[in-house]
Amino acid sequence: MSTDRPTPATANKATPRTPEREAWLQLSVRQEEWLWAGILLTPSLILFVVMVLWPALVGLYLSFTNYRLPGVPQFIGVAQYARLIRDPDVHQAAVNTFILFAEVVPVTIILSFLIAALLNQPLRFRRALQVFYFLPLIASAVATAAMFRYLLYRQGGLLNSAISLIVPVEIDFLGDPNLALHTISVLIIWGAIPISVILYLAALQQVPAELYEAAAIDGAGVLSSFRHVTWPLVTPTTFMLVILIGLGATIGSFDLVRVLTNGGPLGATTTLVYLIFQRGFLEMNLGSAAAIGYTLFAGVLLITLFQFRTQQRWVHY
Amino acid sequence: MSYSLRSLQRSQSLISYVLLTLGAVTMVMPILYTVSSSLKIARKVYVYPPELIPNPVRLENYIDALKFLEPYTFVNSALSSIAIVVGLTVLGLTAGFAFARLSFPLRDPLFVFLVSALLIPGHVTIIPMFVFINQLGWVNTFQGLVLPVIGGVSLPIFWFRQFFRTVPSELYDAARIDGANPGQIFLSVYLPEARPAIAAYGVLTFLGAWNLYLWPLLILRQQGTETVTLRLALLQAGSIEPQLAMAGTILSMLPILILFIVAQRQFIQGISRSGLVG
Repeated sequence: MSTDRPTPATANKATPRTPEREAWLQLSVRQEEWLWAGILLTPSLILFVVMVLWPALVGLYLSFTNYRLPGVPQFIGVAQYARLIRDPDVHQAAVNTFILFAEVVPVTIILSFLIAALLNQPLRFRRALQVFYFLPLIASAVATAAMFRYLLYRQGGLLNSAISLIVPVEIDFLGDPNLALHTISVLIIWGAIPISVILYLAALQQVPAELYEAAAIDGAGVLSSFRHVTWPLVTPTTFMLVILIGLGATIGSFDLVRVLTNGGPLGATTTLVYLIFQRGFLEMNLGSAAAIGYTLFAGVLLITLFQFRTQQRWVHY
Repeated sequence: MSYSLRSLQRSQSLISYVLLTLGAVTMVMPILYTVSSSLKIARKVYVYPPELIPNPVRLENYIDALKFLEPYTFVNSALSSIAIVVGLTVLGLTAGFAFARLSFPLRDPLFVFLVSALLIPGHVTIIPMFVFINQLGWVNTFQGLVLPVIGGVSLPIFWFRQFFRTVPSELYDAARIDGANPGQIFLSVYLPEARPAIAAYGVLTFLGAWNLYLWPLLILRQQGTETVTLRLALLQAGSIEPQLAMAGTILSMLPILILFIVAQRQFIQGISRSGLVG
């Protein structure tokens, strides 16, 4: 009759059972989260496995074969890797890749930091100046190549015309084997500065203005306050940029090299990424291309792990 | 503030102006020179000394360049870039939310695994990817162009997870106690919050998709399927007159420029709130 209606007595009896009921409820809450995690993650995971993981594993397998088109892959163990060690083209490409990395990363970081720190001051034409630094962001590597190709032209290009006003020489920026790689570096730096400045500016805007004022009252000059106040405050951004630009310089160099120099002259601008393309798609030697790819991956992985390991020494969160 | 300190500051800001102006000119000169050359008549492109202001101005260069680039390449680039942006943003938002706010078994190892794939250079997987797409018969197709790119979910997942972690978790817990399920909370609380992060990610990804070169070079081998960037590279290889190549280069960048002008406020806001800086 009145069994449905909880009397004070039954309510009291029910109390010890509450933890049990809560435990059951919690489990259901958790299961609901698992279910939703599954719904939200599955599309990403499927695409990732099919489009990234699977090709990566197939590539790893191919690097242990002698796959050449037309033909079928035959397992040959680590022979491809052993060949790489003695391959002068690979040596040259590895050195070129490292030079790009060593030139592009520090120069981009230092220039972008200085530009951002200068732009972060209360200057009158700050916004207008900012636009000029952001503008190259719209240029693809292919567009960058197109613009610089004519700018750097040997006869009548803007840069050579300007130089010849001072000294009567004609510099072949892209055709001289001693210069071409450094020219590519400069182009990568030009393309990487905008996004680096944007990220530094975003980070600097979170630095309290009082810090600069305190430094100014202490009589710190612009450069020394940049060095001792601003720089340490943006080390997390610097760390992220070192990794991003490092990857960009080593990997992203492909488009510029392909459009401007095709790896020449005499292999002077052949980077590892370009060599992968050359071996795989021009010489149809897929096994060798895959082995170069995984060697590059190992290098990137090692350098990145090293950076994460050493970050406590200089990155302040 | 003493007089000397004020004069010191004044001289400092003068130096700042000089340095910043020099840098700005260097950064913008290649683009200015390209715009200038794109408006010249053929025999004026390489005159000595170089003329920065073209005289006479030949606007028809742009019509000729568009004929070389072909209007359809702009349609192809726009459609594929939009598909890539929408695909990656939706996947990044949903998975990023799950990693940021839901608890489920193997969450952290799975996240580290997905994100560490960022270190695999795309060029390492591109050969097996091409073989795979070729087997599917997807060479010269839209899905063959965009799906492998959308598979690169690591970056958007990282990006949106970092952003969602800046949204206070109390919002999630409170809505949960009110009886909302995670899907409802995602749609009604977290998605509206993410607008600046979506804008910044969307703009950068559109830029990246529009500028893709290697993958379209491999996968689009038929006339009629090319993107603007691919066509622009072909133009450079061919013997097109320089002023037309310059005009084509400017044309290829215009859509991106317009996008930045339209979205700049949200873009900057999204970058500063992304949880990536500071």
